[in-house]
Amino acid sequence: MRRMFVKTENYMKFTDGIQKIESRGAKEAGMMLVCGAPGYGKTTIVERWASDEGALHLRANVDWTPRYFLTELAKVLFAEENEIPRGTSSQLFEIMFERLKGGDIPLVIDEAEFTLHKKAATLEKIRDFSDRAEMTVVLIGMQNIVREVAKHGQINGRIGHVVEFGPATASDIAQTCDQLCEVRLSPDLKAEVHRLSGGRMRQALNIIASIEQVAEASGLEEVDVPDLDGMPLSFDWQTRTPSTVRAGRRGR
Amino acid sequence: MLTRQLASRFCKDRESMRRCLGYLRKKDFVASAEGVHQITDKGRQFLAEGRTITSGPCGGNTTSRRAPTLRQRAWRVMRMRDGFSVEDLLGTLCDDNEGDPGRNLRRYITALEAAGYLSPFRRRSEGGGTRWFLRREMNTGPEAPALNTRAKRLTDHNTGKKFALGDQPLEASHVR
Repeated sequence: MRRMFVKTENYMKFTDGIQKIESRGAKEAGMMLVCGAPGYGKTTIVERWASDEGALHLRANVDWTPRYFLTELAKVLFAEENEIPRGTSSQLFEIMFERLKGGDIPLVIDEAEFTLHKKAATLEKIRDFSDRAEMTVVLIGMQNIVREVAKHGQINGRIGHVVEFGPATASDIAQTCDQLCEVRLSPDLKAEVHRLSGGRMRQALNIIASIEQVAEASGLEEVDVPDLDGMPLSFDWQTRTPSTVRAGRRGR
Repeated sequence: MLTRQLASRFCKDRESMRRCLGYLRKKDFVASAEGVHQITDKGRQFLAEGRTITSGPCGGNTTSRRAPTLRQRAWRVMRMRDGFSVEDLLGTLCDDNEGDPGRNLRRYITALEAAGYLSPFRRRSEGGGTRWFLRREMNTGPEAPALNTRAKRLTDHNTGKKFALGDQPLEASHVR
């Protein structure tokens, strides 16, 4: 399988959201929420953007406190051990605020649910940076993070945009098959990959890899649904049953 | 205007905009303070005359190591992730327009491992490839260590350290 980045509809939604946040006025909200179920590509898409932009990237932990966050931020901002500032939380904040003022460097927080403990004290600290340093902050979380953040009125007011990731569409999966699969797949089989994967990109990649193995073993250059009829290409963990290719679904 | 606003206006990424503004500042066409940029009188006059900036010698002050190359972006992903494989990097960073990104990244990873930046995980990725992690003490800063393939030398511009890679082959067989 070829390896490259596929620009899905979720990616387009994300870049559109970023464009809106980046073109905001000085006093407008600079935080963006990215949410969705696991496997929809949140982390990969945001990492792609962060690597293009040179953004600071932190992954929140279950035991994050404002102090823990400041220490982690200092480590990525001042990478050299002897440069890392020491001091009280307010001293750390002031030193890093001076460095980040002007909002040139965006900040990404993955697993942002962990910033909501203790009346969202850590997220309040992140908001301070976003407001005062005019930084763009991207928070990544699961579906319910929007509801959880909404409970904290002051923070919620600083969320300028919410991007909700959904399952990959049929055209996303077709595009992924075209870009990554080393054998040609018929349109019906692409639709089957979409059905079997449930729109989860990780699952779709595993299915494509399996199809390639079958094609190689059978010497096929182009694969259609009947070639794989009844073959299990995916596993449904909820029903604990393998999901098999069904030729009868052709022509839907 | 702020860098992000200019980047958004010109549909550029922020890093390209920063480099562009740095160039314009050097020529006194733009003045910047605390991330806010403003055109200078000299810049206005240049525009009014309808002139264009042409390339020229930059006194050895090359900016190539600041360009968002594949290796630079790969270094950034290494700093973000707890672990990664070549496939992970390709799947996150590569579009269909690079020459042979897999070979490029494998060489770079081999050099970083030889210089002590990366350590391999015992478990391989789902595709069977090696996975690495960036050692905490070697996360030296935002600039990707620069690999000179011909000279077999790795230079870390964050620390100024240079690593001679000697006879180390840059495409080790276990890197896949």
